[in-house]
Amino acid sequence: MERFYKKSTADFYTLIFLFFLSIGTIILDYKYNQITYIRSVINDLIVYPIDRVSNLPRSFINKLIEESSNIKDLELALKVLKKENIYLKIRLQELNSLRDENTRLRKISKASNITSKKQTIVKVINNTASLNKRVVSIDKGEKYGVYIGQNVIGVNGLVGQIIETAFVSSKVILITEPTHTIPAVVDRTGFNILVTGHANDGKLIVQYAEIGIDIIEGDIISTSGLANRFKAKIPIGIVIKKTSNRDKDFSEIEIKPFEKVGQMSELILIWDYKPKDKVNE
Amino acid sequence: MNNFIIITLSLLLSIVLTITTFPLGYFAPDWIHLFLIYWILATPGSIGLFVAWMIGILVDVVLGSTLGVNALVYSLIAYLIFKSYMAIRYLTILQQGILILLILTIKCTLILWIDDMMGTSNYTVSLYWTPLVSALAWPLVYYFLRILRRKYNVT
Repeated sequence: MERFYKKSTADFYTLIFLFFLSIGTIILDYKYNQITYIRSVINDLIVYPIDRVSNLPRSFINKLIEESSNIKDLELALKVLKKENIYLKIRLQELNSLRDENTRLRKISKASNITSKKQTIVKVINNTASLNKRVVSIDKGEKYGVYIGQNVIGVNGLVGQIIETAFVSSKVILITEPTHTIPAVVDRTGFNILVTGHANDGKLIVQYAEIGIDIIEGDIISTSGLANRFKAKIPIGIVIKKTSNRDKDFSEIEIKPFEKVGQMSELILIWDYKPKDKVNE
Repeated sequence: MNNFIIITLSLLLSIVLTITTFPLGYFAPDWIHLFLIYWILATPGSIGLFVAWMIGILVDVVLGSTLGVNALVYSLIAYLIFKSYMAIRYLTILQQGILILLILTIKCTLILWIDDMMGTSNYTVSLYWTPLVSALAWPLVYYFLRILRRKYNVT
């Protein structure tokens, strides 16, 4: 009986010790961001390999589908791509002259020239890397210099930002996440708004826009660069619906993002912009 | 040694299951916790409170929550099961399922409470699907791990 009692109190003291240890780690992680390296180590050693392994069947099936698509389809695709390439080259010439003009004008107005020079294409290794948040994990990490807050784009527009980095992988929060908000601007009017994700995938909303706001369907929304989170002038999406309900204090504006956020297999990291405030919020 | 390998491998399997069932959202069972509860019930000597705590830290990394939240809850529940495994063992599988439902509901509420104190919670009622689905998955986990345990003679 005595031995049993001893054993049980030992367990109890272990529990109390672990209780305070947990509170310690919570405070260190939440308040001071001090123990992120523990997270990185566990991520690299355990989560990353599992992500890779659990992704194997999917990528294998994708490869099979790719190989089985017949040559005619590929030739057709090639034709379309060639046409598009010519079209893009013509556009590029126009853009080049425009860029020169733009830099000249910027020199006059003494504003800095913002164009991305370095980009990195990364692969998505897990499309849903979190239970309750829209987060994807990618196959590049601190080894390549990826940093927290780095802007992530697709070919057509903004996708998200880096929220967690490990040595060989990192996590990107998507702009469609309901708890994620982007400082944005309406390109036509220059009006500043806040764009938030929505529970419906593939839709963004402006929650607090006054009733008489000058936004019409078809307006293009891009990042404003305020709050130093995102680089300015990255296209986000297009306004598809505006409902002004007199009963509510704000009008509801729905935005369709340019990218199929959440269903992409490749993303682009841009390097020429670093958020000023490196601490998480 | 056999114990260690089998338990570690099964826990790794539970992490694989957790990551592959992320797309289900709240309808995914809490695999890691079910596996851990089974091993504590079946072989209370082989898993200590420290191990439960470390698995909790692992869960925090996998789920991306603040380091220590799940660790705290895991060690607490592990302690309660240590103290009462004799009683729980003799319940029928259905009764155990109901108990799991209760335990995991309390766990969800505790985590929500801690998250809310830090202002990182995003509360939805659908959060409570996880305990229900986990309780339904309990017989599956139970019989699968029992076969594993008998085959490899884990004691």
